[in-house]
Amino acid sequence: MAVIEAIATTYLEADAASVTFSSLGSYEHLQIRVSGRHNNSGGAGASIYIRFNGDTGSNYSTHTMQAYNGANTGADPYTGQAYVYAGGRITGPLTPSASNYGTSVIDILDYRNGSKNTTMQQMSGVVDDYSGNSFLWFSSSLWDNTAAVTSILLYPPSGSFLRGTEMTLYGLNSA
Amino acid sequence: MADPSYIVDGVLTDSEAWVGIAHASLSLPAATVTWTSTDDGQTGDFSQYMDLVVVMYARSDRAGTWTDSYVHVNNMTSSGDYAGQDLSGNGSSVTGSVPSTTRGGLWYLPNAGATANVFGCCVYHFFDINSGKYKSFLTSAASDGGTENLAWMVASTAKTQAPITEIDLVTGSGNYIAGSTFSLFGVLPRMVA
Repeated sequence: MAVIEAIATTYLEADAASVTFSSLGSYEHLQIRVSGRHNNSGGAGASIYIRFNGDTGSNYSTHTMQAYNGANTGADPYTGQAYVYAGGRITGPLTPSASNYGTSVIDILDYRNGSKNTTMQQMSGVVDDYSGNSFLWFSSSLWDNTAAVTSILLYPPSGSFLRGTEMTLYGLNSA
Repeated sequence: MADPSYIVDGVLTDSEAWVGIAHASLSLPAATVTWTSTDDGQTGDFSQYMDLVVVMYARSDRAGTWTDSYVHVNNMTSSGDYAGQDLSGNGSSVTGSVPSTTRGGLWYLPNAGATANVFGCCVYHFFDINSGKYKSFLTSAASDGGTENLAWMVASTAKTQAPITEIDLVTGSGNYIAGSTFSLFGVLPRMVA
């Protein structure tokens, strides 16, 4: 048995409102790797919202630390959300170069456990975005539900993921 | 030409998604570690991977207060070739800054002034390396026991739409010392209907 297996890659050939992974296999942990961009004309760098098992209740929280636009640093809480506020970061139409996509590594631990809430961590970067801004993001998120994760929905706050967005789900096995 | 072990009859098998491409454990000091795609359909051919990951554990022989280590992609070294954002913490404060546009993924590693036998660790994630996108990568690094004790995160973009065919790990001054280790992994996708 391989330690890390690729479960599924979604490489968008057309804009799509969301990406769902619903065959999660039987692994210890999951990782999603993203190279993404959205098409919301009014939006600059944006988030990837995430929901587990279709849960639309206010059961998600996120805490962040970030650096942006050079010397700026910060930390923010997002509690009682109906989604993981930022499972990652993606660029948008205001980004000067159409070739520039945001990147994220999203780790979802012990997702099959039916007696633990699900905690995840995210590391993301959006570089040379609108007005030359850049954004680096590291955060934790909690789904306050002990159910095993059986599906993962990823979507942008507005508009759709742009053609060329790529997401791959990996499963990590233990010994 | 024989296929790599993870391709059977032209189809990717469910073997390891992370493929060990190369590993270097320095027996002599070196200022640069370079990996180049073999372009031969074998394990060292970057064109088959979705992402690349570099794991390095290194120390510099430079005297002084700090030593930098960074990445050049496809031999890109000119001003304006890269854009980025970094975040570092030294135990008492955090700092954000815009790094140089001649390189990406810069961090500080222990040097000659650091506690004996201390090395710094760094992981690079290069995304969608064969696409027509700019080549973006994330860096996390840790350096302790020296004159600079820092945790780093960096977001970088190499402004090229060409596939990544070469990665250079460079120390800005001095050399990586003997015993420094560098590993390159290819991360495979799984295209499903």
